[in-house]
Amino acid sequence: MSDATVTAPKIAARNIVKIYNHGTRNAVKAVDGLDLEVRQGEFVSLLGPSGCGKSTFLYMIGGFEKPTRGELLLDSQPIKGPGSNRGIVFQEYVLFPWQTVYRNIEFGLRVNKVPQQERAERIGKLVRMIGLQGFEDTYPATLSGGMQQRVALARALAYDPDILLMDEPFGALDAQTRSRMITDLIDIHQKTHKTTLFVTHSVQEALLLSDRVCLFSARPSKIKTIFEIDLPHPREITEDQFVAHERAIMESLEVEVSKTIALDKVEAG
Amino acid sequence: MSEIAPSAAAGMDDRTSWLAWKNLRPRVVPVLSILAFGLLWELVVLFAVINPVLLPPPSAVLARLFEMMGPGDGVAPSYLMLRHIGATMVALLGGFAIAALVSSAIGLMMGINRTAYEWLNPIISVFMVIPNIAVVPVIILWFGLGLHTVIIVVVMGACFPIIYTAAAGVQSCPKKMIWAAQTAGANKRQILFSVLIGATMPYLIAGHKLALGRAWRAVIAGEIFAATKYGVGFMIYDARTFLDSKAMFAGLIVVGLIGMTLERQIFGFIEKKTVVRWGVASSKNL
Repeated sequence: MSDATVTAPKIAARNIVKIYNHGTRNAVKAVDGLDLEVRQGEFVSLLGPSGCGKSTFLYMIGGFEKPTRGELLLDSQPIKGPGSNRGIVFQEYVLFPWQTVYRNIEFGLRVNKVPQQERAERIGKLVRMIGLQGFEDTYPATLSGGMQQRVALARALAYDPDILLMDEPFGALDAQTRSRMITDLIDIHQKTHKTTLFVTHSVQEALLLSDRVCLFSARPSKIKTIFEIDLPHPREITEDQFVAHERAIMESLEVEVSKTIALDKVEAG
Repeated sequence: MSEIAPSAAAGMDDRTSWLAWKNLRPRVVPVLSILAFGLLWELVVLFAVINPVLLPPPSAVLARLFEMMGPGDGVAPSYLMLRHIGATMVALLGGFAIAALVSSAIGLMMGINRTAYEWLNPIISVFMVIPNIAVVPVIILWFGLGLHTVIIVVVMGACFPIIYTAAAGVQSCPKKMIWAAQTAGANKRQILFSVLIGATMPYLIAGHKLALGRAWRAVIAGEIFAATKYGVGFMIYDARTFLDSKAMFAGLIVVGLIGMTLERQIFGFIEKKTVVRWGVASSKNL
């Protein structure tokens, strides 16, 4: 491996601009001049006020939306569309309700024509990792939210993507389930070292999980501040350094939330 | 469904009999209801001195029904009613199968392709509200009398609900579900067969259920005007010519029983195997 490949970022976003309804009277600038580099294996949270464009940015990396301007590179190549080098987990799980847990996890292996034998091994491993042994033949609708989200995570990991994209994945879960999921996700990240982008509203969630927390500004947004969280896992929310980070991020976020509310008022009235 | 809520104070006997009644009730009451209606009908004919040619009592209707089901007296063709039912079933199931295949494909295409939807939807919206029986004379004009005409009438009756619901089903598939599949590496064909059809299934089933009801009405209407020898609808109409009101009522009973069986048994089974099993819809919602 040459030095260039070691130092080249996994994901590089340079001066990204996203304008919805571009060229019409209803044009809305959602993202304006976003820069970010993500290293291989890094866990990065995208945090910011509602509607600030953090999910939009995630969808651009997913290849579902295109930046209006700017350069968005994955492994130094421009992103052309969705692909199996990425895995995605949504807040709403969006499992395939007509397929069992096993078949859901198998989806990516099936479309990529992985041999049966290997499928069974990989799925067995994933099912153990998410702790859903015995539920392989269950249909998603009968599972709790937390269990469904575990299946969605396993479905995204099954075909072994380089990058895991998570769009407020724990937003619909209750507090206890959420804290369990955070612990498990840290565990999974330490085992798999997937480059992970994690969109969230929760400062604590971001701090518990991430190597870096990117704070988005009010729209049209860019990254306002990047906080390096150099704390060992497992992290304690009562730790002095954790609290200090939390306070700093909260203060900065507060300012952007106020701006967003003011913007909403102007646009509404 | 499995409600177990008798008070603890209730005796064991009370409790078991109460539970037994609770379980039997949904099966017993419908039978009693039909029997009560039959009895009332019989009594009305008996005591109100209604001309039995205009309204034959159910006992006479049933007797005529069994007679028509049997080998016959040598004058009328044997197993006459079974021949009529057979012809009706051929037209119904043949027409329904054609409609199911063609309409599902058209509906899915409309769901996927926006231009197809924009151009076809207005036309379908108009055709869908035209009562099926109104097109029968036109179809006879074009195709003459016979089984093929009845089948065309059935196809016309069954196709629109399927097209409509299939298109709506595809459009209701969450965008993020398709994104998840694309991210896993699925191509267009795989998304159609592995995602869109699955997501559309509850709609397709509802559409086919609606379509079978329409097809059943269409086949009877079609036979009244276009059948030439056999068919339950034809039989009811033909019996009028001979003032055989018992046979007419026997035909109506057959139409009701078969219609109910088709709707309840066939789709009850399909729903149990699919949407109910997946937990995406209770059979009551569809």
